[in-house]
Amino acid sequence: MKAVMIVEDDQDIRESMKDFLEGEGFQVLVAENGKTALELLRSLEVAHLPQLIYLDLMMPVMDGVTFRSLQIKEPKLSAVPVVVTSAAPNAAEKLCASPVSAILRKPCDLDELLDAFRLHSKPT
Amino acid sequence: MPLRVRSPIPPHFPVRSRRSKLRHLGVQNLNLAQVWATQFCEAGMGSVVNSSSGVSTGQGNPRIGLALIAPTLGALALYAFLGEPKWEHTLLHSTLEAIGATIAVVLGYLFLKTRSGGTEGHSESTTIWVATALIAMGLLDGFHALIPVNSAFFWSRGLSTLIGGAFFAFVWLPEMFARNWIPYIVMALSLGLGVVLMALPESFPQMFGPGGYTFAAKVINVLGGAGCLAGAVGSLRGRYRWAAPRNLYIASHCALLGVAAILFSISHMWGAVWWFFHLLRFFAYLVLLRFLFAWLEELHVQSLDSVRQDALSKLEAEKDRLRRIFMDAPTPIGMHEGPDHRINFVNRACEEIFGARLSQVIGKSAREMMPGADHIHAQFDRVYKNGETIINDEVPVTFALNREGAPRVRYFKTVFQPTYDGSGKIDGLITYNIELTEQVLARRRLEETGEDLRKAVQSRDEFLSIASHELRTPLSSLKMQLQMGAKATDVERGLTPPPEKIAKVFSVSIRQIQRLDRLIEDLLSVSRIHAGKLAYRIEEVNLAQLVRDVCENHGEILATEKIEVELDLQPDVVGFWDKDRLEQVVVNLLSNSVKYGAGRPILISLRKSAGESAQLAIKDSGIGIEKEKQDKIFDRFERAVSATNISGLGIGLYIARAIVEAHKGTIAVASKLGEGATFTVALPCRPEAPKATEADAS
Repeated sequence: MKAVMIVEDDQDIRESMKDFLEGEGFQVLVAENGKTALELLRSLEVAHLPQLIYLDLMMPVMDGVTFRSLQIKEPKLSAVPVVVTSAAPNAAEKLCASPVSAILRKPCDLDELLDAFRLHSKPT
Repeated sequence: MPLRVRSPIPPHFPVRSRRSKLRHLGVQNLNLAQVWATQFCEAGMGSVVNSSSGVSTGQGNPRIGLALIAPTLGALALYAFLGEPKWEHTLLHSTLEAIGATIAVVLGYLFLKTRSGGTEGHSESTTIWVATALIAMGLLDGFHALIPVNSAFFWSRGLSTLIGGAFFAFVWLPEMFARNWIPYIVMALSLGLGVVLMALPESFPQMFGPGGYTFAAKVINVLGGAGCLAGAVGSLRGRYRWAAPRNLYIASHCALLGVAAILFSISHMWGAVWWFFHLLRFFAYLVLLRFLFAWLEELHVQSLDSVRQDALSKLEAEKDRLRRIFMDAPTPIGMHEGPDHRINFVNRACEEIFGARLSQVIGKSAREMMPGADHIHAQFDRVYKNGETIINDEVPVTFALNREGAPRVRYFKTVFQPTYDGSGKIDGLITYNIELTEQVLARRRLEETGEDLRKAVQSRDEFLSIASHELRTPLSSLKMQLQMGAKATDVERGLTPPPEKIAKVFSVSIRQIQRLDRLIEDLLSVSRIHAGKLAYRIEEVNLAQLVRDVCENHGEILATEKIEVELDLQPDVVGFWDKDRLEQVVVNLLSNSVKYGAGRPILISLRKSAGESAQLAIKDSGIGIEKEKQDKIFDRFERAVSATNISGLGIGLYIARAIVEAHKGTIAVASKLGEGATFTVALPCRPEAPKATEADAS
């Protein structure tokens, strides 16, 4: 089963993505900011880690850039590929220190989400 | 430029020494004997009589008598021992007489022209009589030199002595008898007499017979001699009365002439005594010549003196001018000398810098005046040792307390230059201190303005970035919902999404459109507030009802965010306000509290206070706001937390404040970091019609 994680502070977007991806047959984990996402990932066993993380950048408590920089440092989590979904015009700039697999510009197409998974997800 | 003025007159210039010689001539007690003795030895040799302090002075000096007796005795000795050898030499005689005559006429003429006789200390009548005597005697002597040996030859000699002697003797006359025209009349008469003597040589009685001179000839000459001697004594008297060296020379001259004239009576034509008295006469004229030299020298010194005075006063004036320029220069200039940079010259502008009077500054070393300014002393040393010119820009100098009690910092551009002595060696340094305070402050103001502008631009760019993000967020959600709906719909195969799915797509989409609408409304409000064009429509509003409505409208969000809102509303709070705008205020405050409330309950209370105003308070227990940021949160595009942490435009509170203030109300926040925040709005229930206001003065 395909498993992904959505880290997104906006509830509507989070719910919409979750609905869509579940409809496409994904197992979906959600977190409303980087901190809860990290906590959730740490609590999982390696076998249950998602194959891909959809990460928003501008979030309260812990933003996407911080999340990514911490995630890379954790051996258990670092292998999980990250695709950024952001409305920020300077997303690539912000991420130069913590590279990610791809950056999708909001509002993004649903097909783009699926393509990103196909291209970047970690095979089970 | 070193302000050292050098005297144009070299120090060895003998002004002083010559003056002292003149003083010898004029004031110190020369005596006749000394003059005489010197004249005898040095007449015409160019050396001025030098009165040494060893010479006895005063009246009754026995040497005066000796001086008169000596030539007389000399003549008698010649007469006794040499007998009467005769040596006839007309040319020599004429030469001696002509030289004497020329000297007498020239000097007499100079006396007349200058009316002074060269030195001070004499009366004008003396000058007139002496000049008359010299001219008459000189002219008749001249004719005497020209006339061959005949009757007129003796008469010219006798009359010259008689007339000259008479006028010399006139120095005894009171001043009232002297007239300026007398010398000219006498000059004319003498010329006439001389011409008559030359024209009619044998028309005069003989003065010379086989037995020698006639009695008349002897009487005329002796009388003349007596007059000369009287003149000599008179001049001496003048010398003591007026202390003028001229009188001494004249006395000497007269005495010699007098003795010569008396010797005439015992002489024989071409005899030894006869030549001797001519020699005395010649000496008499050499005395005059000597005086003439001394006088000319004095005139020369005087003119040099006046040239020097002139040069000195010009120099003084120039020095004064330069000094004024230096002293009044608006720029502090100081001159230092020596290895410890002692201040030797500063202008007035320096007083302020040193905070001391100029007189207190001069002579102090740089270290005494500026203790602690080590870098300046090091630079001074470099200038002094290496001859460098050092320029510092914007040196801050702190001045003593000013009237407001604050020390004032002023800025100077300083230029330190070496100064050189006459041999080109560095002997000190000069400092120019050009004040730049105004320019520096102006530039700083400009820099600050630039910084403010830069911040404003940065703030605007940030806002645009946030705004685009905020607008895209509901768009993202909207797009996804519609795409999901579209994916689930297949017209060809007659497939439609289940109704509950369609309902969700619609409700989420509608919510996103509302979010967009609110965002756009907020943006427009900011723009209108900034332009002063936010319009208000006043009506009767029940504020408690308004707050309840807002909470109900946002119930769904509150429910999904799991935030409890507790309402404590006094029901009858009614006022005249713009309902839609007040709703905007409540929505903004509420969404603020939701956003920063950390999911904890929010308390909204409403009271009507005694002063007919509504007090609305919205309290959360969230992250709170730092004290320093509490003032800024009501500004445009300001947020208490960094942009990446919490979404939002940062304009909600700005709009709220603008609307509340337009209603003559106030909005305030009370908060502690980590302990939540309470926003309080106070609104008068019957405000005057709110004006379209510009909340942000900038």
